[in-house]
Amino acid sequence: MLVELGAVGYTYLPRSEAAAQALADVSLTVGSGEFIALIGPTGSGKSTLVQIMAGLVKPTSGRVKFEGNDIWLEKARLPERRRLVGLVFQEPEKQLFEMTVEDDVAFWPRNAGVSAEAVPEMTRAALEAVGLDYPSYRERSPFTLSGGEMRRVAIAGIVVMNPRVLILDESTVGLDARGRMDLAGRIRALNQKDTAIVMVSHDMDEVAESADRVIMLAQGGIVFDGPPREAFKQTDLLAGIDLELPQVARIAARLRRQGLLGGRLPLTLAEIESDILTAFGKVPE
Amino acid sequence: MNGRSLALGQYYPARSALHTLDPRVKLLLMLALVTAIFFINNLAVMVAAGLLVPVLATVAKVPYSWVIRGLRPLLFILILTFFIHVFFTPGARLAAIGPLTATRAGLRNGAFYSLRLGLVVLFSSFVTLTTTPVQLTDAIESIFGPLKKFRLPVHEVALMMTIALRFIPTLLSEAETIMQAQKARGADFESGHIFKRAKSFVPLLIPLFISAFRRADELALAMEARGYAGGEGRTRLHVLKVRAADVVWLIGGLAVIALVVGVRWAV
Ligand SMILES: Nc1ncnc2c1ncn2[C@@H]1O[C@H](COP(=O)(O)OP(=O)(O)OP(=O)(O)O)[C@@H](O)[C@H]1O
Ligand SMILES: [Mg+2]
Repeated sequence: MLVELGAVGYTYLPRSEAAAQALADVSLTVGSGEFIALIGPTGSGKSTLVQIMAGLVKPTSGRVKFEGNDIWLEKARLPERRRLVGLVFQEPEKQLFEMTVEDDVAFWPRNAGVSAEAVPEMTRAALEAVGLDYPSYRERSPFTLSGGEMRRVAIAGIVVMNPRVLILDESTVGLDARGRMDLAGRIRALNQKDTAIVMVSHDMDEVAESADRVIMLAQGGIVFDGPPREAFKQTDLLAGIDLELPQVARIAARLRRQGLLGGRLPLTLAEIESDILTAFGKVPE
Repeated sequence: MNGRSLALGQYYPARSALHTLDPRVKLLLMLALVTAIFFINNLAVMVAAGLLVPVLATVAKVPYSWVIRGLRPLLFILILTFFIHVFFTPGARLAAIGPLTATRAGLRNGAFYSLRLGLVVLFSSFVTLTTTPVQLTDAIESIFGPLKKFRLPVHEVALMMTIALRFIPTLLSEAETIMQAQKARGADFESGHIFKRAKSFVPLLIPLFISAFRRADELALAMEARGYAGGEGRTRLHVLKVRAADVVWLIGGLAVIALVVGVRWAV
């Protein structure tokens, strides 16, 4: 297992009047090459959880392990482990701190002692992996970018570290429809190259399209952990935490009620297309 | 690093005689009291002056623990002061630890000087504990007001102080954010010896300055958008007025301080 959380709990401002428990008794594992969607209502603790997974925040109780070793018992190896489990923050402007896009993306390679000749090439590759043109962006100040561009630069700054696990905290919010599709495709491409992905999302269509495992969080605890098709069958659970089914599944549910569709619960456009074609007696391509 | 641990005599909201006291009177009394401490040359009087701390805390309705907390950032220096005096004052030998000998005079001096330092910090902290930063800068503006006649920008300086105080917590949390962002990309703030750790804070400074300038720009824009135009002809929401109680405090306070100072020559 790459990342393993054992009975993790987290309280903001412990020992004060304002103490707020954000997580309680959370256990989960992330295996190599998985694509996990982390869903849950606002304030359920998703951002807190991913910061703990990335080793940026120390849990107030429980263990965080990377490849079987407790990361907080080996502080000297924390930087290396934070590279292997890369987190893209929920607010991209909080992730950027250098004067130019190039310096920002090159922060890790330069500090990690990558040879000076290799750095520009790595930077270019990372920017291109998120769909930004290196020559036209390298000199820009990160703070003059649009929200969507900032997100991409923030992701590039993490992708350049070549992490084993890439965690994205609502990283497609603020993009237009095309940009979202484009970025989702790029993230899937990284996943194909054996990077495990943990994606926090409120967009169930996106979850249905990409994830092969769904973890549902409610009030700081895991209420479901399993494949998407199972997740979207938990209608009571979903309603209880104000989450909608993916559009495709909602359409399928209506067609089903009309007796037009049977069998499995389709989640993606491709699935419902082939189900409808089959229902009309046509052979899907 | 969380904001609370850095609270050095941070404002404690309560309704007490000290809270409602005119901030100018508080500032003057504090200055007089701190000066008086330096006139004390006798451990017994110093201890007696120390008894003022719980008295003031009670009057101010600030919990003792909150008052003592103001000493935390200084703890190391206090302890160091104490031990340097204990071991490096010549005099009658009390005990020896390795090559170091503690002396009776050293013990006395150590207690005296660390108590003096502690009291100076504690007494000054009563001003910030019971006065909001805004009241404090108002007081400073009022005290230095006459200097406006010499074309000194008193109002502007006071405004700068207010803004600076207001933004300390913001900058701290900003620093924390940038630290997290750099940690997420392999920066190391936690391991290594103290010099290596101190060095890892250097790359933090430039982004912090950049963001401070960005904030300053935004603030200037927001203030202009709301019609702020500087000190000339500006009226105040809270006008500082000296009341009878303030005069009583001022006279009473100065009398106590005179007593403390007078003991030096009386004994
Ligand atoms: N710095 C903080 N201090 C105190 N409480 C906090 C802090 N950050 C988060 N919390 C609290 O912890 C809980 C979990 O917050 P978290 O940010 O992890 O939620 P989330 O699931 O990411 O929400 P969202 O979907 O809105 O991003 C919330 O109740 C929040 O109010
Ligand atoms: Mg969040």
